[in-house]
Amino acid sequence: MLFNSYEFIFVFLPITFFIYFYLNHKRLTEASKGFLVCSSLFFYSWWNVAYLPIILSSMVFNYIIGRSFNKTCKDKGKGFSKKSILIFGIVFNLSLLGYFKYTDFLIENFNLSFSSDAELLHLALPLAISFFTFQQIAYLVDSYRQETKEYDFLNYALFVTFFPQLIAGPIVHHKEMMPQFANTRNKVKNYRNIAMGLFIFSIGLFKKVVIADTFAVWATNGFDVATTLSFFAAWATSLSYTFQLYFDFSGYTDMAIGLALLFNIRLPVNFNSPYKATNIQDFWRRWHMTLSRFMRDYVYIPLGGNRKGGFRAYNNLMATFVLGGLWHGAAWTFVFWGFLHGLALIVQKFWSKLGFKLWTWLAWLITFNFVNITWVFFRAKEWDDAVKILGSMFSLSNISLPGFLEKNFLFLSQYGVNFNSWLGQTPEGRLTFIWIIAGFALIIFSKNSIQKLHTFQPGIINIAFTSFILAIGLLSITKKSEFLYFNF
Amino acid sequence: MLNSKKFILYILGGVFIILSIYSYIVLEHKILYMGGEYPMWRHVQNTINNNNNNAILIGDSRAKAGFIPNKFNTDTINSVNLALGGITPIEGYYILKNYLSNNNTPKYLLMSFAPSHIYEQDTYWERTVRFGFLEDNDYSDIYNTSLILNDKTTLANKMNEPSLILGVENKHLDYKIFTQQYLTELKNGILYQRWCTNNQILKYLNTSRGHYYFGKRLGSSRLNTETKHTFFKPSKLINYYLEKTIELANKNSIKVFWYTMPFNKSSFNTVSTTFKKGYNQYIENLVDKHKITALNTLSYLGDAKFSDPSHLYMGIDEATEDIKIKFHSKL
Repeated sequence: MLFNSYEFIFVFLPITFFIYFYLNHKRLTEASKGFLVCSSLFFYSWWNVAYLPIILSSMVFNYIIGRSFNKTCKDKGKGFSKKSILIFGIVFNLSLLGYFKYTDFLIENFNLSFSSDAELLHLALPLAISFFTFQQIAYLVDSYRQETKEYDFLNYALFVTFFPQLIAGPIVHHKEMMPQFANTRNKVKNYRNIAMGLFIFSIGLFKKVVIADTFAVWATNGFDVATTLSFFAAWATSLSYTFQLYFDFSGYTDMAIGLALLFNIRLPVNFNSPYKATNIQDFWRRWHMTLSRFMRDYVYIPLGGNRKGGFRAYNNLMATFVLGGLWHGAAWTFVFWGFLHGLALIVQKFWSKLGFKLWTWLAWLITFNFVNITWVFFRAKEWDDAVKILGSMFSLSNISLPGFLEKNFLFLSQYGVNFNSWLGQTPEGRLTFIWIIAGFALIIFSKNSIQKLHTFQPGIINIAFTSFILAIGLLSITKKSEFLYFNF
Repeated sequence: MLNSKKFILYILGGVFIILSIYSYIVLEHKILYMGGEYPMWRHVQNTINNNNNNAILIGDSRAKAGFIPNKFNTDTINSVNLALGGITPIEGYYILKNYLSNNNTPKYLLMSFAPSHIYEQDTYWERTVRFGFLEDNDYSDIYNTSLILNDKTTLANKMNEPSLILGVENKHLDYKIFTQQYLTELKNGILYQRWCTNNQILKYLNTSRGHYYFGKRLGSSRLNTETKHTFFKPSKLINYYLEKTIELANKNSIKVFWYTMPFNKSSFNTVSTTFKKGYNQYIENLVDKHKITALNTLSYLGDAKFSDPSHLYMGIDEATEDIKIKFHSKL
């Protein structure tokens, strides 16, 4: 079930909300938790009930492993060591993820390397497996470190399956969620939270169905449909994807945060105006923040972080980013995307050490363009697609300018510039241009949704604003449009 | 500042009001934002509600483009072109029925549908239903008739998805309930200020008595849709409504004429002989069964007379003149 669907907004959500609080009102707290878990599993199964056993078995396994750490503490010296149990748990989780996500990738590369012809398995990737696997690995590590513990399976199931964050994050820690579920004050309806939840959910819905889905048309056309692109059309394509990805994923996150707020749960912030970043480190502190936190805490630091300094720190950084790329998808384009970001961070660290400084606007321009260009690899299904887009973005041999410039710049035609359809291969050319300008205005000048939430006041302006964007959002749900991060 | 409970209620109320206003506009004021086809439908609606002519033409876009009433009319013949792009005799029947309910009975009915609109419908959902051209019970009647005739294919064509909530028999209500499907059209309407162009088209249609051009390119040798078919096989449902239209006309003592708009030469030469024979035979059978007058058989004009594979442009006067001569010879 999608957040941006009528069945979710008008059926699933109201039923779940009212029954959950009704059960709490009747002081049936365990029943309310159980209901929320069942609702979340129903929500998950809506796509494909075949995936249900996978998430259930993963949950049971990790719960047992997590509990065994506490037992091991009590029965010191008996049985397996805590560390070996942890390693076993992590290996199991990564194997599950690896089997579904990376088997075909490995076979393809094996075939390529050894000129063999092993058949691909064509396994369908179970929805949200990357997210619930990472979340549970974090839980195992935290349990191992005695930073958290869980004795109750129902609580644990709620932590894993809570529907607002189940499919595509934010990736949450057990220790930041469970106290909220346990807090009795959170078991009664809180109108302030509902108001804020509705407010931010509306923003998220608008971002997704109005903005992201509009850019999606142009991005898809440029990447998947058009065989050749002119200079401007290639830039319009890459920028459309850059905006689509941001508004899609941050829209999803806003909706998740809003939905959780309806249940008095505060999810961690996942985006903080990433396209305002003025260097690549800054970007990663603002983009998919919970994934960055996970990669830092559970990959970079365990690898040694910067404790051993110099070359080793750079190695760790690169390894973290390459793995981050691979987490997003089983393809070399993702690995290369991660590599480029790792490399950029290393370059930035050198740059900082040398003490150079750039004007803020130039730093922003370089950072934004770097991110925009590297998203091309992230989006491209094949290397050829990336080459097609980037080739056209940096080729001066295929430039078309708007017709009205012909009078003044006719001399340019001798250099191969033509004056016909300057965004020729992009549908609705002029409209694309206007949307891209609007996209820039939004990412640069507008407060982000979390900043808006922090200053939220239930006043007339917010009523008008929320009513309008919610109404437009509801009207714009015209087709099934999945979130991009559902694929990762 | 309001308290949060009021804030939530006001938002829900605000959304309800916005959606209500939106739905009212998109359902009741389509002329403000719909694309260029819509004014023709509105013109036909206006005409059948208040008009008196002694000759009316019912047909599809080929007839809309190919028949100029102002050139056809004489001192005694006062005609109007009620053809519409994409329609089949299904809609044709209701046009005649509604015309008869609101006007004096005409003397002559000229019918002109392309062969393709006798073997399939392709715009029933996209235009007839979406434009709200008929009444709800008309849609139900059409659906029930398709069930009686055991015709499962005609209405199914281009019906995006069966309505999940209302069932296929009430699919037409989707267009009134799920009004979000008009949003893109509304956005385009605002962007391109369609209310201006639509009103201009309406004015033109009033002057031209329903004639409208479907393109003004100077020639087309591309092939029309009939060339893709080897056999001519009429749809049960469309044939039923075609015969019903003729019966209704006969019942009201209206003399019925059939004219098949010419193909472009390239298409005529390409379409199979079996298809041509099948179609001509079909019209002959109608003539025999219902005593209508066929003014021609499947024919062609040169490619230069067409603006696209289906619609006349340079040959419009010629076609109208041809109809006029043949029509008067059969009076």
